[in-house]
Amino acid sequence: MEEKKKKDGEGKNIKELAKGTQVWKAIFGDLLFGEFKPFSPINSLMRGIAKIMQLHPYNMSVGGKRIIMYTFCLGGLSVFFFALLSCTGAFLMIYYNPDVNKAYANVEDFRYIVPFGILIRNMHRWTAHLMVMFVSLHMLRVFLTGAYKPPRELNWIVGVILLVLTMLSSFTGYLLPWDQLAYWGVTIGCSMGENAPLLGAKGPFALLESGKDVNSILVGGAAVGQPTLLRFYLLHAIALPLGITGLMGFHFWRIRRAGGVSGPL
Amino acid sequence: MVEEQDESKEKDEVIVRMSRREWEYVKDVHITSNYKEGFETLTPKEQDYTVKHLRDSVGIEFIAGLLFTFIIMVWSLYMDAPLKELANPSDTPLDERAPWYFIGLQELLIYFDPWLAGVVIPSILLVGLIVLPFIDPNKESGVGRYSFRVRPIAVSAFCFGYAMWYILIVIGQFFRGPGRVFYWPWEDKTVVKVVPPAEMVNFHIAGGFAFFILFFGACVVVPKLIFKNLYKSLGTVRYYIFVCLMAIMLLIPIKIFLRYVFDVKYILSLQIFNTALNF
Amino acid sequence: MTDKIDVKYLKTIREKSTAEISGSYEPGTLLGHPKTITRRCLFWGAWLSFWGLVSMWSFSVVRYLIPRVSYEPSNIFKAGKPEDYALGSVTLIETRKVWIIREERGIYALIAVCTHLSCQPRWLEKEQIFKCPCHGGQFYKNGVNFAGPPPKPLVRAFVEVSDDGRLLVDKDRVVDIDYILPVETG
Repeated sequence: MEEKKKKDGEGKNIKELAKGTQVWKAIFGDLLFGEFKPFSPINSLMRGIAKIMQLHPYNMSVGGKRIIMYTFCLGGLSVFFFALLSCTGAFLMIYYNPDVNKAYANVEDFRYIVPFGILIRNMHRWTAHLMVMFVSLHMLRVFLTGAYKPPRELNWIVGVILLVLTMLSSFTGYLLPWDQLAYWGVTIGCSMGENAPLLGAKGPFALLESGKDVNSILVGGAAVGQPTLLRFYLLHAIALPLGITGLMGFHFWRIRRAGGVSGPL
Repeated sequence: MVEEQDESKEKDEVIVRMSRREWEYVKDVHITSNYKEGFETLTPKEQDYTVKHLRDSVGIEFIAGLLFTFIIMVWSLYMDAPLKELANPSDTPLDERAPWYFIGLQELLIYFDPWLAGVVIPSILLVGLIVLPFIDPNKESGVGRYSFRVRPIAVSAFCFGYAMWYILIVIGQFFRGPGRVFYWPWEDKTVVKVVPPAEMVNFHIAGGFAFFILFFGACVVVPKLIFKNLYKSLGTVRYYIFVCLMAIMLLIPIKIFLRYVFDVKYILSLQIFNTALNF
Repeated sequence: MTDKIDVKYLKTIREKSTAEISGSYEPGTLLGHPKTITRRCLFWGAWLSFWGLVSMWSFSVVRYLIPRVSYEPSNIFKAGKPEDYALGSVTLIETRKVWIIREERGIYALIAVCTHLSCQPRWLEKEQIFKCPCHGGQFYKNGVNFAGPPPKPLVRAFVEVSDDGRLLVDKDRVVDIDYILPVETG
């Protein structure tokens, strides 16, 4: 086989030689960048998916403006921060236990024991602040440029939900260090749920008794404690990031369907 | 894709030559543009107005992201994330505060009861944001550029709410010391300030009802008189939704003003079925 | 059954349907009858059962999230003998979040949770008031709110002297604002 290949390869340059190998075909082969085969079922399936998901490169109309002075990269940076938060968060999960007896010590370990632990924790914390700020600035930008107008209304609503999820994500992360700031901040935040009309135990026209109201879904008991820490951890590390990722994908897809960044064209 | 460009001026079109393979691809996928057999057709104006999405938009955003990664790394090296002492359920610290993006709500807690400040006002805020695209009657103009003149009411209404949210955050973050007492920036926040409790008064119940009826009445009537076109362009339903949302937004600074100037605790204090409803 | 549907036949059958069904029952007659399961009926049945299933499942999930048992310190506990508390003292039992207050007339227990937003107020010995550090709510020694945002007085818990002479506090039993357990001084 090898010899035959060499014989065939005579007279060809190195790029064409490389293209003949199995490794090249495996990476850059038929599925993504292959030759156009009109009747190959896989090819047409992939092109169908690309058509629905709008994955191919395209030209975007921006009304002749420089895009950086128009969007200020606010949305793109929010996604970037989300990716950064996912990375640093995954690293933090290695040493963190959602246990009231261990959590605080684990977070202190990031400073004193884990090599570069404090760097990862600081990055996670500051990026979270930046992400909330950039998402809200992105909303301001979208409003001021009228980008919520038809056909983008649904995308605006998805964006509002994403803003809320971002804030909730940040808020659930606030409890995890289990320090005084976190404990009492979350105690107050959860008492808000207790004061909800009808559904909270302390609110007006309360229907449910204490310990069985909406607040206890979040807290998991009478006061903030071990169940709360575990619930917030699961929300922070699994539920909210999954929700954000899904809605973000939908958000981008809608932008792409509407023809990219909103413009007068 | 673009190999060579010829402009044919009579037709006001740009002819883009591409290989057979590219054409097969473009023909199927680029359904939104006008294509003729073998050629992509774009007017010169359209050509000027488009950028390559990956190179000119995502590329720039990626570079900005790298820049911010650098900034965050340097920032993280020099500034440590806050970590106070271990949580102690039997000792509330004096200077307790929510994360900064919720401090606006925490500020409202000083002026409103928790069920209003923590549940009802944020819910109305969210509902207002969600219905916003549908109550804006202006469907076409002002898209794609920063313009105040084209839609002055929409921009000023949104900016008012947005600014109020951030002003409340700034006050809560930088002007509040131990016990949520107001501190000027030059005052030392470690010294616990003793504020004598002010004698707070409630409006009389009739006065409270009269206030709300007059206030909402004014909010419904006055915009009709000042902005003549507003009612006509919005239509009845959208007009009332818009006006009610704006009135609720305006109530917040009004309540803060009444609290500080006249020591009003509640504008309207009701007692219904053993439940206190205080506004 | 033939492939083509004879509309006339169906109509006649439907008009007579009640009479046919009320006749003597034979196994399989109802299944073969055109009126028993129409396509529309099947569609709505499936749709309804789907939503019924979804709503039942979501209810069970919401109920699942609210715990039935919480592994916290019991709300009923013993708190030493009445003589242990000096006259005029306010003692905080930290693990249970309760103040035991001894006055001339007797003893009462206040739950150390602010009625505003669940912070723990502090007892200020000099001013003889409870003050909440979170939003500045203030209460008199008897638990009545007089300043700041709290809407209600502090919750007063039931206290009694148990068989062994120690105080028994029941946080679940809320009592009136003037409830005091009389204690003989001596």
